[in-house]
Amino acid sequence: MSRLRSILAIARTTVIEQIRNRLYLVILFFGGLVLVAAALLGALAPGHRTRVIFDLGLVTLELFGLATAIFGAVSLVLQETESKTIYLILTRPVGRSTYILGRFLGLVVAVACTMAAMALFHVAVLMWDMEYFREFTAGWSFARIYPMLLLMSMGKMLITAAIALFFSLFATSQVSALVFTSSFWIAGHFGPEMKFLIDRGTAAGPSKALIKSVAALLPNFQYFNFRDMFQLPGFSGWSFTGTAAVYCLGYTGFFLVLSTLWFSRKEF
Amino acid sequence: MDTVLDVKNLTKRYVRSHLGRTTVSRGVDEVTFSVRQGEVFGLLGLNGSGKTTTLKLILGLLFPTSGDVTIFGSPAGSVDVRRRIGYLPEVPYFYRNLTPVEVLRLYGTLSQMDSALITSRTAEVLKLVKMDHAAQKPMREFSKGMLQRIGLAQALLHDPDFLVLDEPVTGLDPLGIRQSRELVTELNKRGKTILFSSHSISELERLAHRVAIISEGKLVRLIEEADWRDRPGRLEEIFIETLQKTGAAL
Repeated sequence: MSRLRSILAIARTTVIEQIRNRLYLVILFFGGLVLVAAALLGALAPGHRTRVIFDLGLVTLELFGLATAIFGAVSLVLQETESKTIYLILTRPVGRSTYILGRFLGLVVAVACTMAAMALFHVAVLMWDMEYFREFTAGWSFARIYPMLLLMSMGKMLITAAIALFFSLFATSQVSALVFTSSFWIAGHFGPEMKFLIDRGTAAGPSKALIKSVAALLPNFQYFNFRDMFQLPGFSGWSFTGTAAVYCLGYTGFFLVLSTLWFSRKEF
Repeated sequence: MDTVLDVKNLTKRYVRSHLGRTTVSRGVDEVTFSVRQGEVFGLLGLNGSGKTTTLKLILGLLFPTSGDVTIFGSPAGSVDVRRRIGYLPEVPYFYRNLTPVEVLRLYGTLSQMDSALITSRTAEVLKLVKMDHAAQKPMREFSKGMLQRIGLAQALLHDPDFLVLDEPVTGLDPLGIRQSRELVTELNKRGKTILFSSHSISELERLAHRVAIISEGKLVRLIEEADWRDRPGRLEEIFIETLQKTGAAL
């Protein structure tokens, strides 16, 4: 019970720190700005106005949510180590895994708040003209699908933040942690292509097995590609989201365990 | 008299690898001493002598290469023992965007205090360190001396039995130094055991019951209060003599 209380206290502080951080506000501001730009761009394609706002808005939401997650995660422990604020936490009766979980939970809540704020704005822009909106959502339930889309983006954020946190623990600077995480994020979007190249490649035997194992360590964001799937005939939303949730929790948990193991031997 | 802290043959070597080259540097070497209940124990040494490393090893922020540290009979760094320790780092850094009340709530919760106690103790300790007027201001606006006072407040918040203070008067103005000294004396009178490091000989002379001189990572001399009490400047003489004998650069 006291452990849970400590996790929540650290998470709460992390959320306050993130939300009062200027970088966070800048990201939120630019996210809003891009959503407005999407609405203006939509005006250039009168027949597909709502579709353009919908697609561009979701991409914006994901990218700006991602920026909050990555920048937040790489500085989560690294900055606290550099500024030595970590001394006053780790000299309290707090286990190191408690600290990692609290910081991570706080970041996830902050990212969720960013995405929720931008999503509200996005929905408002989408519903600005109800006639177009009704036409666009004919044949599918916006109220059911839109939250699913947000959850899928959030799943990707969770995985990316866990990777960023892990890299930040042994990176010597925030920049190197950012570069490593971004590489993982990009590679995570090319899972099927990588599989294709491995299968068609000339490597064989142990080298092929090694390449396959490395590829298996990379995240596969295809599990979260709900946007391209939900209008396909015979698509099962529950099965898709269930698989995505299990994958997300498993992958995030794996990286959090790695982070905790590494962090438990870290000296300050 | 019970022993609060027992340090035995404590050694720390830093091993660093860079581009295939491994370098080993000394932190502390075979340091042995103990701190008795109710005493004020000082660690005296030049900059880089190993005082902060010793304190970090005691607090579990660093792991020893060899040797043992026990606090209240339990291994240093164990979660339970930390409940009874208050620590003030050399330069206490805080979350810049938080207020003193917010950080003290965090540290109180982490020290397993209940909510009502945190509220009452926060008011008490902020008053004690004369920072109650700035309780709701973000700490990015604070001077070094103000941060040092908040540092002291967080170390006292959970009413620990054992206080570890790393250079507690650094950054304080003359009035702050005097208040800090009075506070340490008062806390000691209330039965708190205090370990503090300093390179301010005058502070140690006034406050400590025993002083360990650390030079180049080694504990080179342990001095009792009787050796310097009522003889102003004697501790400084002993310190310089000791460093000359050990060949430390002067």
